[in-house]
Amino acid sequence: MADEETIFQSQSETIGEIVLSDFLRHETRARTIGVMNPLAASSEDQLKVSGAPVVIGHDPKSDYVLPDDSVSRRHAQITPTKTGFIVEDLNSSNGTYVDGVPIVSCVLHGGDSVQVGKNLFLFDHILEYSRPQG
Amino acid sequence: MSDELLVTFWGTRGSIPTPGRLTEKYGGNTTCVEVRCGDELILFDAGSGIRELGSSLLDRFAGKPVNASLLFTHLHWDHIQGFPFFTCTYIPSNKFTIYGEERAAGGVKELLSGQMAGDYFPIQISAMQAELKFKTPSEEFQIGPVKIKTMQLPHPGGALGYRLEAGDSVFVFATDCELDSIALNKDEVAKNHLAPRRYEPAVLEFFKGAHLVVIDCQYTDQVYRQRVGWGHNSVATVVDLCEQVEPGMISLFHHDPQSNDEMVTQMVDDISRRLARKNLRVLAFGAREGLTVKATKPKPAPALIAAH
Repeated sequence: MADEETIFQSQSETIGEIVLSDFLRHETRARTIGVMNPLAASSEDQLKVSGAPVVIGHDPKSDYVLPDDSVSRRHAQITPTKTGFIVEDLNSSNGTYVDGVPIVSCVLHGGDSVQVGKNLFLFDHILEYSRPQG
Repeated sequence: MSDELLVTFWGTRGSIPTPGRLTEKYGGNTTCVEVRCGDELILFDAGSGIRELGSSLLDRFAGKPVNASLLFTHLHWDHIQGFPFFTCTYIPSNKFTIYGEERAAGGVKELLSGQMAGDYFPIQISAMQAELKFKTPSEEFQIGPVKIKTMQLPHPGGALGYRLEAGDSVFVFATDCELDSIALNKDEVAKNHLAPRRYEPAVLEFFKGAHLVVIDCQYTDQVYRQRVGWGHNSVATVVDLCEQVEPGMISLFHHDPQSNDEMVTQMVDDISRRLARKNLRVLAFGAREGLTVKATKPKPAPALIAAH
C-alpha cells in the first residue's frame, strides 16, 4: 500500500467507503466497518457491521446470537448510518449500556464499551480493503 | 411508554463550536437538546447542534409537518447561533412555538432576527416560512402532557432552568449556571471549595426527584478558580448538588472548548469516584452528541458474564 496514491475520490453512499487507486490502475476499495470485540460474552465471535443493520439477540435467528438468558430475543440493533454506527436498545429486559449508561440509542465511537445484558464488548472502527477481481 | 421523556443530545459544547478529532466523542456543537414525550416534541436552545437536529427531523417526518416547541434557556450566542441553519423553519407547513425571556436588548424574536440581519447573515428571518409563534415562559406551564416549571439560574445576564414532568418521568435541564454564586454560604465556599453548599429551599426543590439532571459542569475545580464569575459550575459544585438532591442520573453538560474527550471523561470519572465515596447511587455521565436516554430511574447494569 505504501506506493499508492491516497484518497482522491469522494465518499460513496455507503458509510465511509472510499475509493483508492494505485499507479498500476488496480482499484482498491476500503470501507469503514464497525466492530464489536467481545471482552466478556457468551459468544467469542467478533461482530462486524458494514452495510446492513445487525440485530443482537438470544433468538437463534438473530444476526448475532448471544445464547444466555440475560439477553432478550431481540435485544439490540447496530445500524450503519450517514452519521455513524448507531446502537439501539430494542426494549430489552436487561438493557443496553454504552460506557455504563443505559441507552435508548447512541452513536458509537471507537473505544466505547457496549453492554448487552451480561455481555460486554469494545466497539471500534476498522478499515476493510478489497480489490475487485478482474 | 408514551409518557416517558426521551432526551437526545445534539449539542453539548459550551461557548463556541469545537469540532475536531479530539472532541468527536462528546461532540463539538453548542447547546441543543431534544425531548420527546409521545408525539410531543420539545427542543432546548438553538446552538450549532440544531442544524443536525433539523436534518434528523426532516428525515423522521419525511414530508409531514413538524410541530414543536423551542425553549430558550437564554440568548447568549452559543445558544442561538444555529437558528439560521435550522432548516425546518424554512418549510411553510411546519409550526414552532418559541419560548424565551425578554432581555434588555429585546425579546427572542428581536434577538433571533438581529443575528440574521444583513451585516451578519445573508438570509433574513422573514425567509423562514414556517409558522413561528413567540411566547414568554411563565413559572409554570404545560406543553401537551408535559408539565414545565422554570427557575432563574445564576448566570451573567440570566438564564432559565427547566424542569419537565410527564407521568413518572422527571427531567431537569440546567445549563449555564454558577450555583456557588447563590449559595447562602458563598463566602465559606469561596474559601473552601469542598464545603457543603447551602441554598434557598426552592433551589433544591427544583432539582429534587429528578431522574435525569443535565447540568452545566464546564470546569474542573482547578480551572474554576480562574473562572469565578463566568457563570459556570465546577465538579465540586455538581457533586455537592448530587449529595443534596440525589438525582437518578447526572449528565455533565456545556463542556469547555478547552476540554478534549479525554478531559471530559476524566471529569466524569472524578465525579463518579466522589459520588461513590459518599455512597451515593447517582449515575454520572458526560452528555454526548447522538445519545438518547430515558429520564427514568436507571436500572443498574447486570453483573458481567465471566470472561473466557
